[in-house]
Parts: sequence; C-alpha cells; structure tokens
Amino acid sequence: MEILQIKEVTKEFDKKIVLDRLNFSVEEGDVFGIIGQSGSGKTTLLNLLIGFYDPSEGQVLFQPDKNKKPQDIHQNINEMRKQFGFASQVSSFYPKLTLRENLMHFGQLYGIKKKVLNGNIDNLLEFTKLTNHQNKLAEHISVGMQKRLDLSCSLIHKPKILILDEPTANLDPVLQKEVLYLIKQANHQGITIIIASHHLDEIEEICNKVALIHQGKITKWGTVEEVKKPYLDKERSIHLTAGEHHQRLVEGVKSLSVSRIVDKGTSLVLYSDEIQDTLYRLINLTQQKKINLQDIDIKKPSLQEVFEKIVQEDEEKTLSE
Amino acid sequence: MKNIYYLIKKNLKLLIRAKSSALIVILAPLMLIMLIGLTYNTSKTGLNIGVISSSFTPDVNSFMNSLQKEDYKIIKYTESKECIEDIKLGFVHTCLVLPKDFQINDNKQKEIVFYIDQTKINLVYMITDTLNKEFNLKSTELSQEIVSDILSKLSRTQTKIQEKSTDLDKIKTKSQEAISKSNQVKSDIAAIDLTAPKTAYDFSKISVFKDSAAVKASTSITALTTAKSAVTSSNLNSSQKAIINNNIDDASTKLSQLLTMINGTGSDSLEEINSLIQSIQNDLNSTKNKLNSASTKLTSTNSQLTTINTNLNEGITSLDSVKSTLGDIQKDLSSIKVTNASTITTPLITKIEKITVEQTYMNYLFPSLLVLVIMFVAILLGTTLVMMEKHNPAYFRNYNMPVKKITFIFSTYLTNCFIILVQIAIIFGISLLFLNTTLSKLPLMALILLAAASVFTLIGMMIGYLFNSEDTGTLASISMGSLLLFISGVVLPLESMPTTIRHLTYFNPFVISEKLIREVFIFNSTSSALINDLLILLGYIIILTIVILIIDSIASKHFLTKMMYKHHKHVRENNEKKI
Repeated sequence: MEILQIKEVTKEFDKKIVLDRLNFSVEEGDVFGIIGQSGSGKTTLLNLLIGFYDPSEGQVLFQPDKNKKPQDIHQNINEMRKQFGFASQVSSFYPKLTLRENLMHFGQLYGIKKKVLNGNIDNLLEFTKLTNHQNKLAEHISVGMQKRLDLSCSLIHKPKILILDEPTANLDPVLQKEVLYLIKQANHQGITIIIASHHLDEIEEICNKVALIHQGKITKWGTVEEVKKPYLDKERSIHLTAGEHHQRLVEGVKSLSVSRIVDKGTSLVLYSDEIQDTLYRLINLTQQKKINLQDIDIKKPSLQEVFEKIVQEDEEKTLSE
Repeated sequence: MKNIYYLIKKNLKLLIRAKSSALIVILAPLMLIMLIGLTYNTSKTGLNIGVISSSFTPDVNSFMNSLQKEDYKIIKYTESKECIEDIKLGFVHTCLVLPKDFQINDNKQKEIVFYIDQTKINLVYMITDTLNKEFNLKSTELSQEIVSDILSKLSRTQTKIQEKSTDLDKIKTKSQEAISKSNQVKSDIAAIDLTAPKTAYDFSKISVFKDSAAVKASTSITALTTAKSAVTSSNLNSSQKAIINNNIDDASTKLSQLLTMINGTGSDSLEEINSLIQSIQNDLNSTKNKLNSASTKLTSTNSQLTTINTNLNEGITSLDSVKSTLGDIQKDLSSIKVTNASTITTPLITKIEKITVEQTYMNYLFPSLLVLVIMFVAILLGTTLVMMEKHNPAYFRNYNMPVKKITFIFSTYLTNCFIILVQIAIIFGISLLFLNTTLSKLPLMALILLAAASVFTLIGMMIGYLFNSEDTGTLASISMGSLLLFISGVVLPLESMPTTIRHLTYFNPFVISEKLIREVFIFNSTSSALINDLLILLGYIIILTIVILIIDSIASKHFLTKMMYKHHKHVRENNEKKI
C-alpha cells in the first residue's frame, strides 16, 4: 500500500524553484532513502513532507489505512502530524529536562493518555537502552544517548512514518551504527522510514528504496537494485591492496585502459567497463612487475558510485542541452 | 595599538552587519533620545484646569481667557467636589477656586485656592510652578492697577497744589502788604502827640483881679454918692440932682479904679490877666496844631486800614480756596481704598489644598513603582521566555507538533502571568506590612496588575518573536521599557509634551496601568469608574495577541529555516572535513 504519494510537488522560494514537479511514492514498511548533493533540495523535501512547508504546487497524499482515502497532508496538518515522526539533523529536545520528562512532555503534546504514555516511555527507553539514564538531564548524557533520545522523542506517539534528516550527521562510526540499528528496529516494528543522508553507504545498507534528487528534480527512484541496475555492469570496480608494492602498482595500472583510477593511499580502485579484460591484464602486470597483491576484490558499483555517475550524466546532459 | 584598532574595526563591522543588533544597539538609544527630545521639546504645558466659581463674572472669564491663551484647557465647575473627583479620575490636573472678581476694594488680599493631586509629585511641582507664574502676572497686573490709581491721585494732588501755590503766593504778598501797612499805621499812631500843654494856669490872679475890681467898684459907688450931693445942690430938683450926682460920682470912682486896674502892673492888673490869657492862647494854638496833625494821621491811618482790610479779605478768599482744594485732596486721598502695603504688592495670594489625606511619600510613589516593576519584569520575562523557547533545541520539534501555535503562545503568556502573580503577591504582602493598604483594595489592584502584566508580557513576547538574537531581544525589551517609562509622566510630566503627542501617551499602557492603580490605591475608586481604562488594556491584549500570532506565523518559520540552514551548513562543513 502506498502510504505516501508525492504528486507533482513543486516548491519555490522567491520565484526560485527548489523542488521541481516531484513524483514518487513510499510503500508502507519501506525504508525510503532520499539522496542528493548538498543544496539539491533533500531537506526542503523532508520539511515539505512533515508540513513545515506547503508545496507551491502539487500535493502530498497520505494513506494510513487501506480502507481510508488518501488525504492531502497539508489540508489537515495537525491531524497528519500525529501520524508522522520527525528527527532533524540536530537533536530536538529540552536539555534542561530529564530524559523521562522530555518524553513525557512530547507525549502529552501528542495527546497520549498518561497510562499509555508511561508504557510507551518505558518501552522506548528500553528500546533505546536509556532506561538507566531516564532521570538524568538531557544535557548531561553523551551525544550518542542524545541521538537516541531524539529518536525516542520522534517515536513517542508511535508514528506511521518516521522522517529522518541526516540522522547520523556528526556521529562517530560506532554511534552511527547504533542509530542505524535503532532505525532498522523501528522499521521492523512496522514504521515506514524516510531518510535523507549524505552517507550513501548507510542509505544502501538500510534502505530498500531510494530517490535521487539532483537540482530539485528526482532523477531516479525505486528500489536500490532498480536504481543501480543500469550501472551494475558498467561501473564494477577492482579493489587492490599491494602493501609495500602499492606505489609500483599505482605506476603500473596507469598503462591499463581503465575508465578511472582512485588511489586511496593503502588501496587502489580501478573502474572499468570491461572488467574481465582489465582483470586479465592486471594479473599479467603484477607478474611482470613482481608486485605482490595482498588482496583483490571485484565489487559491484555502490550506491555512492552510481549516484556520482548519475549526477555526472545529468550534468553532461544539461551542458549538452 | 594597531591590534586594538583592528579589533575595534572588526567589532564595529560585526555589529553593523548584524542588522537587528545594529538597529537596536546603535539606533534604539538615538531614537529613544530623539523621541524623548521631540516629545518634551516644548515650553508649553498642557494642563487641564478646572475653574470653580460661584459666578463666572467678566473678571473670572477674563482670567480664564488669559489661561486659555497659554494653551491650558479650561473646564468650568460650580462645585469644588465635582472638580476634585475629576482630578482623581485624571480629567483635570488642578482645580482653582477663583473669587467672583479680582477688584481689590479694601485691604484684604484675594485668595485663590488650588486643589492638587499631591500623589503626582512632579505634576504638583509643574502645576504650582506654571500657575504661580500666571497668578504672579495677574497679581502684578492688579498691583499695577492699585498703584496706578494711587499715583493718578497723587498726580492730581500735585496739580492742585501747584494751582493753589499762586493763591498762597498772593496771600503772602497781601499779608506782607498788610504788615507793611500796619507798620505804617503803627508809626503814624506813634507819631500822634497827644501830650497836654505843661503850662500851669494861676487862676487866683483872676480872683484877685475880681476882688480888686469889686473894691474899685465900691469906691466908685462912694464917688458917685458925692456927685450925687453935688447934683443936689444944683438947680435940678433936688431928687434928680441927688440921683444924678450920686451915680456920676460912683461911676466916676469905679471907673477911676478900673482904670487903675487896667493900667496897673500889679498882680491884679489887667496886664497880668492879659499875660495869662496869652499863655492860654499859646497852649490852645499848640493843641490845635497837634490835633490838626493827629487828624491828618488818622485820615492816613484810615486809608491804610482800608487797604489792610482789603488785603485781609483777599487773603481769606485765597485761604478758603486753598482749604477747599485741601478738602478735595483729602477726599481724593481718602478714596484710595487699598492702603495696606502687602495688599498693594501682592493683591492675590494662593492657597494649596490637597485632594487626599496627607500620606507618606512612598504611598504616592507606590503605584508608579509597582507598575514600573511589573512592566520591566513582564517585558523582560516575556522576551526571555520566548527567546528561551526559540533558541531551545526542542523548538523545531515543538513547531512540528500537532498543537496550535496559539497554544504555545498562550502557555508562554500564562507562565509569565503565573510568575508575575507570585511577584504581585509578594509586593502586596510588603505593601500590607509597610504601607497603609487595606485588604479590600487588593483584589481590584490584582485584577489591574494582571491586566497590565498581560499587556507588558505580550509586548515582551512580541519583541521575543520579532528578534532572533537573545541579546538584541533583551536590549529591545529594555529600550521598549525605557521608552514607555519616559513617556509615562513618571520621569517628566506628560503635561509638558505637545498636545498631540500627549494625547497619544494617554494610551501608553504604563500610563493607563499607573492611573488605574493610583485610583484604587490612593483614591479608593470603584471598579465601575475604572472600566474604560480596563477595556483599553483588554483591547491591547487582543491586538497584541493578534500581532504576535502574525509575527509568529511569519518570523518563526523564517527563524527555523535560518536555523536549519545553519545546521545544514555546519553538517556539510563537517562532512567535507571528514572527506
């Protein structure tokens, strides 16, 4: 069931089009990733989805139930907000309230009855492993805990859709994993997730669907596989680790006809449309130059790589036009 | 040294580029001063003066006109009670009880009674100062009238004295002439010789002469007797001869003797008698001469006395005229009714009556202080609470909650009200302890303060919603509070402002609140008398709420967008650093 339908949505600021006739839909239970370059309009789109902005044109339809007709969320935004959870880039709670007080406060504002709310709070604290810190002031807990508290605040009213804007921004890898784990868990509990992030690897990790925004337009959207499919054969890469022979390897691969070489310092990535041929010549090269390869891995193109390719194509297309 | 210059330059640039801060930090004080300067830049005072008089005579009306010319608004009253009530309600600033007329007809000074609201301390000074000037002018005018009257009378006296001076000169001349004439008369009279002749007349000689003549006569008689005998012998009959002879003989004898007496030199001689008579003749001549002379003198004296009489009559006429003039002068001078020096110099005196029972200075200041505290606390608290909310990380989440915006605004307002109510309770506790406040006044005062606090809170909240920076908001709040304070009449009297601006300041919530508190706290007014002002405050509350809702709907979204953009940029920068 399409829980959310974005139809011909356009958003203008001072006659400048930020979002241009967007069309896509989110199925119930999806973890839907919105990816795009900085300034592409991701955050504007999310703000539009939570009702912070009204679309200049088009509509966002929400259908919480099969038996109900889709409703334009901007027509009755306060009612719709009860179905949406939102966590912005920056944690949004009261630092001077305890964790429990924060959850209690936001829960009460959603109009949840006290008994139910207390249950929800206990469950959320346990879910986010914050039970032992519930009476601490929010400003006194770690950044990771604060992120979890923020997520809890967004989930306190058990929303149908959770919208997350850069949920792992400014977090270290461990905390990033923690947050992603929680998002996954929330999704397993039946919550549809819409997530915007710069970290395309984590989008690829947790999202089943993505929409690529470039210059305010959706260039691709669908399942991750669907988006990547046209590039799977073309954009495969060979990841090489040569240890002490790394520099010789870098010099050697220059003679190979590959589309792109990326030197990552301790490893090297070769992109080629003819991956079999490149691999054959690479083996010859290592034998000739007596380079000991410690590791060799052939990878399909990542979402990041596909995204970069799509953006590049799009820009070339724009230039040619 | 250069570094200081660079740092100052940088600070100024930052300040100017932060538009709202620059506006408030640099322009607000200037605008505040400019506004206050414009507001109070007038020498005129817009006092509403109630004039109480039992009869509005031309004198009273004339004085009222002179006050109106000075831009005072005059309201007529016949009863002082009505006027005093209007002072309490703030419709008039002072009541003047004027006498029917300002004419000074006796030595009593005319008294003008001021009724003033002593609770408005700076206004009292202004009223007494400005109206005293008016009264001094009137007093001087009256004083001049009195002195002018006295001087005109003195001038007339001088003219009359001058006129009569010639009469007096005439009297003097005539008197001198009379003196001269009388001296002449005196010398003339002195010159009359009325001394009797000193010759001693010996009238015995005449007796002797008589005796001697008698003897001679007897002798003559004898002789004639002889003659008679002769005649007898004669031929004549005998009788004839005898008579004739006798007479002849006698007569002959007497004649012979008389001849002897006449020819004799003796004492019984005729010569002697003749000498005597000669002597008498001389004396008589002398006396005749003297009397002739005296007669001449008397004739002269009579003439002199006639002149003196005339002069004296003229002198009396002149003196009568002088006396009449002096009578006129006396009458003229008697017509000067004001003779008391203090009445002449200050014909008008003023008396100040207070409209309430004398209380402590603190009691008078209490309403202003109370509103002042409530105003600053409410404005600053309103701004602070809104700023706290806006700058709280939870603001974005709250914004996207299924809760109406007015609910947040109302909750902020109620939080403020709660805090202010606690403060009001503390202030009331203190006022009950230290000021003579009755408990019965407190509910109405609490209602007024709640209304006032609501208005100020909403103003503070409006500022909070309007500005993004906490510092700017606080500064704007203080500026707003200061502005309201400066145009409240607490620092400088409102009545010294130009009329148009002053009318606007009557809508200053500080002025309204202070007026309401004063009326309840000092004058014990009832709620019905305050309803209009309370309705104005209510109007403010409604208008400010609408304004806040509009500002919030525009500014909050803008603020959040800006905030999100900042965070977004921050995240992007962090990501770029990581890459």
